[in-house]
Amino acid sequence: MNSPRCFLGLVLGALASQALSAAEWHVGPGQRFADIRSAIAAAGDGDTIQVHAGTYHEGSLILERPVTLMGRNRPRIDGGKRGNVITIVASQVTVSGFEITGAGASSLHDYAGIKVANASGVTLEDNRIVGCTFGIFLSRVRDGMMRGNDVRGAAAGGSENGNGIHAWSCERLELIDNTVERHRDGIYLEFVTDSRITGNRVSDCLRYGLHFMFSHRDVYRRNVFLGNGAGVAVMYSRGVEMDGNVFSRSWGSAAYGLLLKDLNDGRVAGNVFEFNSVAVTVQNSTRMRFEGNQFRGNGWALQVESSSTDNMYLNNNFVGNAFDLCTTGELASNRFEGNFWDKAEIYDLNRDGVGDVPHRPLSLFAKLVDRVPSALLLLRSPLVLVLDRAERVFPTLTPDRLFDPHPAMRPHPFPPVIEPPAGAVRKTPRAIRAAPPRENETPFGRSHAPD
Amino acid sequence: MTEPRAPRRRMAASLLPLLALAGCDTAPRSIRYGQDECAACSMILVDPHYGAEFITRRGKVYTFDDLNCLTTHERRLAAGSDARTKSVVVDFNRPNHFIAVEQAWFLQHPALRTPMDSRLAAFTSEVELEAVRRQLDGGGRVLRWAGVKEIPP
Repeated sequence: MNSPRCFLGLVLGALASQALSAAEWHVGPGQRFADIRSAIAAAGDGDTIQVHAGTYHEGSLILERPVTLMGRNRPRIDGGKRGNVITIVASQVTVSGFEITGAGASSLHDYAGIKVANASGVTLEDNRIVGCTFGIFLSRVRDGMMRGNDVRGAAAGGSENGNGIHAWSCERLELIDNTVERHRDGIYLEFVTDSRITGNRVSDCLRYGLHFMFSHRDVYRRNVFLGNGAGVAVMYSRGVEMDGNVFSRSWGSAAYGLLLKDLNDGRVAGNVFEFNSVAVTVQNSTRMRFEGNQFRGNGWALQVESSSTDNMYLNNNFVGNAFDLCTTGELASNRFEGNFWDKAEIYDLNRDGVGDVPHRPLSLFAKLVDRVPSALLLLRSPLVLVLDRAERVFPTLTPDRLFDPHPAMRPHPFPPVIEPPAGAVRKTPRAIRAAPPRENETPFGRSHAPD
Repeated sequence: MTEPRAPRRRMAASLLPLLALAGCDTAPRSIRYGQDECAACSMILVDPHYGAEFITRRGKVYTFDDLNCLTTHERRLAAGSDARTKSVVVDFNRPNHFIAVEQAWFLQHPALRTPMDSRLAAFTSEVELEAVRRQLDGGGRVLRWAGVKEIPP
């Protein structure tokens, strides 16, 4: 719309606030206003509303002009189960320091603790959003900053439980250091581009810890996804980078640490995949680069569908998984290079740290179990060992071109040093460090090298 | 040798009609929300307002989270032994109550946030559809199955 006028307004607003120093309004017992609603009505552009401790029953609050709503000593706003608790429809709004509860529940409308629509430059910081259908709901938001919010759902099934942080049709969002628990999907992004999702911790969600679709060029760093119903699903997106995240404890028949479906030209590097039924499922994805990841203690480390082509698996560690790889096809155009496989029976006569013979990660038994799941009963039976060994020597049923020509003799150090995508030679080390999880209760902060 | 075998054979014979029955069962199966996976997009179904099933002649049930996933699957499918017997869709107003797609009334409305963005909900009757449409302040469009099938993927 009339952006020049908007811009002019902003500049004038900024100047005015410089000159007059934006007004500050106080809400609370013994303050000028007893309720937030009347303070919002009185405040002008650029003003700050300080809300003092207490519980405020305000129904639905709507912010229609650029103001800062600041909680002191965490005041509580209870929406009384009617619609959204706070709705923001103006740009340059900041909401921080509140506890927010009591969003409505409806099968037709998505009610949230904080809903932001058609706005830019909105900051939501240090809020605690408890038991709301949706925690934070962003619709057509540009340049939004969501930092340090704590979003806890009710963990009920069905439509009474929405997503923790839900973003639809947004650009340039920053989701940083938020905690999300017990929602349907922890962080849900649909049509969200050029955004950064960093340092969030998502656990115990009913479905996916992180779920994004049609969201291109986003970067996911140092997030922790723990014990979510079905893990993390990322779909129909291009140019996504996922570095230094932890995907842990997604157990169940339809559960995976990370599901990639129709994901192209992205990178998955320096992540930890631990104790998942399936660590990574790759469906119909091309030109993805898996580098320096740690696969440890999973049922299956990699499940790659034959429709996935031109993917690279470099310098990953495969340790203590029941199966390292499973595939339905030949994977002819997929490349495995320099990985450490704890199941590899290889030797290194010239002691250069690289195996002198290739390793075939796809075992006959893995292929058999994929066809006949009940064959899993025979895991670790001597017959299976003999079969697998024979197959590795003379591949008949497994694709003969599916091998790692240069398997590593020892596990790569973790977190890894990631090389620039083009070169195979180690040049200037561009380090991507997987930071340890923020809390001590997960065992992933320590060294990930095998015992 | 024949003596001990006889009862086993009789048991097998008595199981045969059961097997045949099982083979013919083409009833829809209740969707386990939070567990079942969409056969097209691999997402877990969670919202009981939406869902669809495709049931083959042999009684195999494919579950879908959204109507565009069902139509994608139908388009992909070549005619053959696995051809469709029927497709059913979940009634927006009643979880796990199925309507044959040919009988259902569909509302496509921007306010309907379906799992894969088809924005389509299914109803048993036009009256029920209009009731929900009024709650959404009108708008959207009403379709029958023929129209839904024509929506481009």
